[in-house]
Amino acid sequence: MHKTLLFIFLSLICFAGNAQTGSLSGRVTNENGAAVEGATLKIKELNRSAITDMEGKYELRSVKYGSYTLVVSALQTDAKSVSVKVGTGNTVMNVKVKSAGARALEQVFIEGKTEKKTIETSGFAINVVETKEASLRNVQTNELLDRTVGVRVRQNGGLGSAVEYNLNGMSGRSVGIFIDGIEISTYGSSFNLNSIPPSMVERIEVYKGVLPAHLSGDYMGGAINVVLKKDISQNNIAASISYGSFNTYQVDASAMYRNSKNGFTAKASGFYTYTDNSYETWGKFSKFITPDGQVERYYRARRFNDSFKSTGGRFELGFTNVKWADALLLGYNGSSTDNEIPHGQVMAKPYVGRTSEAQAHVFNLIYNKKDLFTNGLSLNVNGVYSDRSTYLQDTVGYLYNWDGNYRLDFYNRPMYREGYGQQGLDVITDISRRITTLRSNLSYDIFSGHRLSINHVYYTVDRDDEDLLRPVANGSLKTISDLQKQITAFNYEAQLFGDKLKTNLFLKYYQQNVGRTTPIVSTVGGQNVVNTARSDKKIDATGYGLAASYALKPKIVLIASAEQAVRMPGDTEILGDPNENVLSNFSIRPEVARNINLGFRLGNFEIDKHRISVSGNAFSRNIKDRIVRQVNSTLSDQEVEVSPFMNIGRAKSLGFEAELGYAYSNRLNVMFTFSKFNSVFKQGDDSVTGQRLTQYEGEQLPNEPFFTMNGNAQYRLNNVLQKNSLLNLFYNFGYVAPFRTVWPESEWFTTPTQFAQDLGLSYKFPDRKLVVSLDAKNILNAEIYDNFGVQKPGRAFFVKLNYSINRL
Amino acid sequence: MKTELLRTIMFGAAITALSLSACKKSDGPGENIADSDRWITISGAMDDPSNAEVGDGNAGTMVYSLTVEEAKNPGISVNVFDQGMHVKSQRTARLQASADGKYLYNIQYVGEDGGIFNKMSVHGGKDFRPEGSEVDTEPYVSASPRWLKAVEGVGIAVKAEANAVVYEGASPNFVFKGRTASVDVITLDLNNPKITKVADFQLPLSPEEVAAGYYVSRIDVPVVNKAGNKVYIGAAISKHNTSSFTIGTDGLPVFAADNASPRSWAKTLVLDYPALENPKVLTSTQTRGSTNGYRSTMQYVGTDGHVYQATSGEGPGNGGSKILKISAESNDYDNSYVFSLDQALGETNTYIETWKYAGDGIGFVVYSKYTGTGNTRTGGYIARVNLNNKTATKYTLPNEATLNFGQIQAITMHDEDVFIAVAPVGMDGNMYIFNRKTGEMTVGAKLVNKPGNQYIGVY
Repeated sequence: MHKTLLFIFLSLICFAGNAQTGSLSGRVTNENGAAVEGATLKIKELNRSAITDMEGKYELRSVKYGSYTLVVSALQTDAKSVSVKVGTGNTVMNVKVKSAGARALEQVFIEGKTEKKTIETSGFAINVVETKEASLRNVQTNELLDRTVGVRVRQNGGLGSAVEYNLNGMSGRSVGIFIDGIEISTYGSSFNLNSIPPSMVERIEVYKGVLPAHLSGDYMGGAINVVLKKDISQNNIAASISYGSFNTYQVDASAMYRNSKNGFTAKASGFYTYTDNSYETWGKFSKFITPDGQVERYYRARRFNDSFKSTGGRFELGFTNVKWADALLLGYNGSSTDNEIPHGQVMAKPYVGRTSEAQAHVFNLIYNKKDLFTNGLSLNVNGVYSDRSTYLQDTVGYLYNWDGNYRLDFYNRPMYREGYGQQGLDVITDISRRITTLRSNLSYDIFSGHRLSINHVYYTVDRDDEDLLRPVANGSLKTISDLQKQITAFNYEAQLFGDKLKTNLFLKYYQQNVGRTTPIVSTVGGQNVVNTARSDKKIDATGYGLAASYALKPKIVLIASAEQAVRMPGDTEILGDPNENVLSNFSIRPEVARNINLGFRLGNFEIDKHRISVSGNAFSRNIKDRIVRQVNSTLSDQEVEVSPFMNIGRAKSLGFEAELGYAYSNRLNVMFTFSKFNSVFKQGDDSVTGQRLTQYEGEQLPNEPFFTMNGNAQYRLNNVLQKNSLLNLFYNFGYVAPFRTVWPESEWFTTPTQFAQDLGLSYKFPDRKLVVSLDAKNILNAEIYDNFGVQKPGRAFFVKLNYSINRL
Repeated sequence: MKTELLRTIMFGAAITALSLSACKKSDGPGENIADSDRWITISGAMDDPSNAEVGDGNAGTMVYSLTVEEAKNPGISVNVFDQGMHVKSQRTARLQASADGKYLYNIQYVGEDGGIFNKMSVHGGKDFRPEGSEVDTEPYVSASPRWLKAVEGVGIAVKAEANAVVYEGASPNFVFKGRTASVDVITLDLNNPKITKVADFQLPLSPEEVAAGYYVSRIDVPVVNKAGNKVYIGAAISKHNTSSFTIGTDGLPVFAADNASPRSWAKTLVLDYPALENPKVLTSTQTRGSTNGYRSTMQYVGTDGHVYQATSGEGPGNGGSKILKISAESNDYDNSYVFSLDQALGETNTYIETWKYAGDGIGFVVYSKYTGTGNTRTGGYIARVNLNNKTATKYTLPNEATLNFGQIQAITMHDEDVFIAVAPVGMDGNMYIFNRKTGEMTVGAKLVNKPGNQYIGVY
């Protein structure tokens, strides 16, 4: 229905007018070749401007074809005008300016929008995490995300341990993670936010609740999109090495080469991370058990068997900014991790010898071109093929205590279980998956400020499980599951009322096919007869939404977005799983969420040297047809409980988040964010009796960190120790309010207040090639937990050296 | 400039401090509770609203203690969910108590501390104080242990974990060979909490039963006999279909459960006590049911020295639950004895949820009935039974059709009185007191309920 409506709507728009636009980018340097940061570049005729970043780079997008005068001004340099002609694709204009002696810094005046600001005022409830600063420091990608408003990263221990992302109170399967718009599962568990260093990342976009058409996925809570480094403006080599507490070292390096004549482009980057995670725990769940079972709590234990090793490399070859393509790149992404698993979901028992290894070989092809065949038509294709595998081994039958030794039984013997590993029966399994994802986006600028686009995603996975501990003779006969997903999204973007109003209307059509072939063997007259059972289920669903922003004044922007989002049932939820005692349910429907965001962005307001910005967002998430496992009411029956998944009940989440920024004279930068939400189940009343069904109707869900605050401050000092050097001092705090982990009021089951503070500094040497960073994390050695009872690292120190050569 | 930074940090810290102090909990109203020689502790389980099942009792346990006089007084109202203390356990705690009501014993059910035992002394109201060491039983009996106070001062926790199915042959010509269970049994000193004995062994059934696909799937409700030299442990027997299987994603055969064939005869595991050695399986041919109950005691040492054991799970149309006798002389089933609740009541399809032996052959049975469709059960009823002359008298309770004793954990006795908490899920009810000698039923304190919750025990 809605689809038809949109089609009619779209057909009504006449395909008239043409606006040919290109982009203009480049780099501003001084007479010594050093980058000029904070220079303003203004296209005089269009009154449009941009500001250079730390590396002196700038970019202006959607510039109409033509010849212009570009005025470059900066406090530390003399003003300069150059003429430039903007044509197809990206026009590169590098500008050399002359330093103008010592001039007061007070007069910095910033206009123009950064990429961050452009995205953040597009109408979606989105936060952009920039990684440039962090990549020079000892900060992990997950830490950066965790500092973002409305995002809570919950990690089950130290570096490399399992992570769950919570966006505005929604988590798990509701939140999608993408790399360059491709679902992260394609890249395997060895290439994820635990292992990707910030230096490989251009920026991270966090979409709350409402997803734009180009990030199509059946996610109800929003998504995190990691945009890997795209920059091709100059040839460079960069490398860094870091070492710190818990024997943690990290190395990464990258290189970029582009032949400006023929557009040949080669990019390579790689990383290596190793840590022992040998940090101490001392909370109430840090336990030592005596042979007669008595429990000693608050036991100071050093985590062991918790090492994490991660290696990865990414190589891309192709052509950029040539006539026939803005980019044609063939890439290979290889990664592997080696992870010791120190305990289960809780710290109750330390594990020894439970390890997982993951590997992924990913090949991808990127093609994009603006103004393909005709002006205003853009094509963007990203195809990925991945061959990934996960190996799990757990065959040590001994039990351990948190002192690192064998756990002794009542007779003082090491406790040992024949046939068991650390977590249940012994296992050695290898699961391999071959995933193909193809994402294509075709957009057409109907006339200036109006763009239509179609986005299509195709995803298929082929999985093979192997039991290496109990290999099956002639074991090729297996249950085979297949899954294909297709998402087609239509998108209409318009800029109206002199670009004051930006709207983005989208419609998404989800199709999913799951199938399973199960061999069924019956013994008939002493002979085994093989039959196969085939089950198939095709599900489709439609979602739609709108994002809009309205600039009341240039510095007062109102933002709103809404989406009917869909989460398709998984194959186990539809087809069941005999190994997990799950029955099939072919009538299961997708979960549906109605998500609404209403927000504003104010600023930057400047008063003398003070600069202030404020933004806020209120959100509501309304989920119906939640998919939950049915619980059997006759639990005391002796048969093993088997039950299906069903669409039952509703859930609701309401909340508010805000971000407050303050800067003083380009020296001090302070940011404060907070997020508070209330997530509840809504079961409604009994349909027959009209009675309330539960005491906890409408109460905050347990185990949700519903109130968080983050703050950070950065102070910049010039010319410390050496002239032209740059010293940055950092402070960061994270606060999580206490939250219950069970429904009833219970002090014991409440995760206490968490307040962790970090300090850091980075020093950029005058040659601008070498940067040294020191970071001290959790300086007060606070007891912090993401997950109940699993303590996170205390005080830790790290040092990092970065070296980069930019003009090659 | 540095002071600016400092000020910002201080500002942030001040906000944090402010919000921290705002979160401080207020203390409950002061309660003046007199001392008592015998506390009657009531427990209730909360519904977990995250699933579809109402009254699943999975959200945790609350406890509150009354004096005997209060418990018997219908003018007194108690709401354990508002007034009580939350027992440490992520899901419903498995609570036991000393016979004098002075101590509660808890083993936490699942979660970080699943399998950890702790002891509390009872001081009335919501005043329960931890006493003695915590004891970790998890490596022996898992984070969801089955356990009971098997004799005063001694707890016995048990676990039977079915081993992987044994089969032979290459794919697809697999042949089912059988399944065994690994059993762990430990004894706990409840007075000075610690483990006092551990044992583990493999528990196969007879070769014929194993070949047919039967195996021990669960054990529970240990009790020590009168002589103090044997411990009896109830068991549930499950069965695989041996003649048909599917092949899983890893290429291994999956033999499904067989619920169509006749169930196994009732069985009990017996061990020497306190050595926990010499495991044997006793079989009664009086009923095809389970002897492990669900969350509460199913077997007691009678005044005559024999052990009386209730069965359940016979399935509809199979004669209902029985009470069997394990002889004090032979330490085996007295296969000539059976008490049929169906027959004694003149009913069909009765299902004993729990019961209490009240001395001299008298017992109080809490039961439901199979509806006949599948294995669903309905209703909640109480009857006084005489095991010697095999008679039973049913009491009339309000809301019998909607009562659900599926999660009942405990019935307590004090002098001549037997205390049972009776309240439908999500609705108010009362303490009911039964005189074990005269059989007289009286209504005691009012039990105030909350939506989805239920009263599950009296200690």
